[in-house]
Amino acid sequence: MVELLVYDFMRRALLAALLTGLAAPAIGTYLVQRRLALLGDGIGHIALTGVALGLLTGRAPLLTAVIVAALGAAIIELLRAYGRTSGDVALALLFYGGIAGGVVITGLAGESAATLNSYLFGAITTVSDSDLRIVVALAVVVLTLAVGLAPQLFAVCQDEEHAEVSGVPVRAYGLLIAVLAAVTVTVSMRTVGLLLVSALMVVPVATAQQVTRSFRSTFALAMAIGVGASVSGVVTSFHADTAPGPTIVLIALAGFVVAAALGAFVSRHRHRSEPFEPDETPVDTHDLSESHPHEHGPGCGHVAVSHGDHIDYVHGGHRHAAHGSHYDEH
Amino acid sequence: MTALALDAANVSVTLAGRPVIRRVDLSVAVGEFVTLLGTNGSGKSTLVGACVGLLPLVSGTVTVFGTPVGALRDRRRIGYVPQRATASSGVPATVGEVVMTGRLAYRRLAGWSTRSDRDAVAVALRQVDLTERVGDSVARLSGGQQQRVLIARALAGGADLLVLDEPTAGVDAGTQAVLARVLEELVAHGVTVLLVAHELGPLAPLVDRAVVLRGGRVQFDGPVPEVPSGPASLAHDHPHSGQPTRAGGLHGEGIWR
Repeated sequence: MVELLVYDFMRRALLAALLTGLAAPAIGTYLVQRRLALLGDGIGHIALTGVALGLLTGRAPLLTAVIVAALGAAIIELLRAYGRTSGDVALALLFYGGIAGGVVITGLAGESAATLNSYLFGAITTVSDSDLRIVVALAVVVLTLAVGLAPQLFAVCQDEEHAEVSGVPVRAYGLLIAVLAAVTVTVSMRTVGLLLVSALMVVPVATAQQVTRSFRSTFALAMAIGVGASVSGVVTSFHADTAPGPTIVLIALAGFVVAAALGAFVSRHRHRSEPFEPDETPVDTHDLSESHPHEHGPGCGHVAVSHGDHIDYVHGGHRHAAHGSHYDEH
Repeated sequence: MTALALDAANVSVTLAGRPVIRRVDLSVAVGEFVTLLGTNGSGKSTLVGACVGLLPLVSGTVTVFGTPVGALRDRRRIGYVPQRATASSGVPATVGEVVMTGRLAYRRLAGWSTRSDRDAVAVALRQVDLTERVGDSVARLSGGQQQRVLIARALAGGADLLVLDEPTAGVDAGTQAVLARVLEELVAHGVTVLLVAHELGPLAPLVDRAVVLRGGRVQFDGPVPEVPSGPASLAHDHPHSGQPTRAGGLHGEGIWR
């Protein structure tokens, strides 16, 4: 590891990997919480048009990509919030437009589609000093907001309606999350590439939640896993001479497989030691139902549930069981 | 004149171009316990959504404690329990974390939770008998317990007006009993309650007034004991596949049990 730091390009690559590994799962946690895990994928495709515009105009593709991706993400969020289009359809519309626009504009710029490969699959070892400065600045902004506004972002992603009634400007926060996701996509563009960026936003979160039970621990563990996968991916790709982006993603996926197996083992062990949730504990009290003129029986219209040696009937959230001339609450 | 906690006047709401609420008047006095009844699709949830400021009005006005709901700056005064089958989301969260979001109106940007935030969460969890589960993932709780988490979240904000959208739907008897006890305590302390329900069960003795919606219009508005069997049966929409029961229109203990 230390010998890698001798090389300038590896120092830049490792720093970019570290920041990407932190920022992508941080914002990814909120996307997964909102059940918009594939938003990063869609934004990645839109960013491709931004890269192509950079190539066409002779400006830094990283800057044009961040602007176009942020605009696209904002449009997706606005369509989702105000339009008659559902989130996934809005995503699909921009998804296709982004990649088609990227390829056409790249052609107009006189570049071949092969030029896009370094953006589609990452080219972390070619990160320049100016690229790195932009990556550092954007990653710091993403991390500061994702951590600093955690109580508000968590509340909005947990229950949008409740947050709105509590006076939280949910539209503004929704827009902020979408734009932060767009910025993260462009930060990660040189590390894992636009086609694989979503993996670094989602897989560490999916891995963490195999073994966590709180939002805070999921958030922290996902970032640790993101850093671990990114940095070890760059180191492995150096030694194994493989493409860094896909190597990072494969390591992250391997981590998920291990965590899923560990989670299944812990869950089985817990079930063995606690076979019943407190609410599921069989009731052995004799709790009489109040006045009950209705007679339960087959076809009475209430759901029948087998309960030990008798049948309970679900009635207004209660379970009634016939006992002599009255009904018991079960 | 009695002070009003909630006053919806001549309210109409349209969803996807379809009128759902048509010129409805609904007022709830300070300290009053009002229940909103009606069949599925009668507009109950839409009406409460408009009352708490979630849905735009096509006509009419909604004021909360004398202030138009959209201009109400002190959002702590409203405690809202939306209709939810689960309190969990795409990422694990503990009971304590979810209930803490009920304190959002008290928290500053980028600020840590304060001692009073943590105390309010502890009190709310104690009220709904979930103190022991504070560190558990909400996804591991039963449906009834998750409903209690949502109620604790609303309680943690210390609201003067509690709006609950079907908190008793499909929950166990234990949760209904806990909810009845909690609401009884809150009403005794002067909290105003607007409750959407299909069946009142143990909550029935707490209700001062019932409003029955049908087709987006108020069909009945009056004290509970005066509700005739007709409107009562409107709130009763589960299927009857067998013979008519001997209880007739009220169907056993009905909604007023």
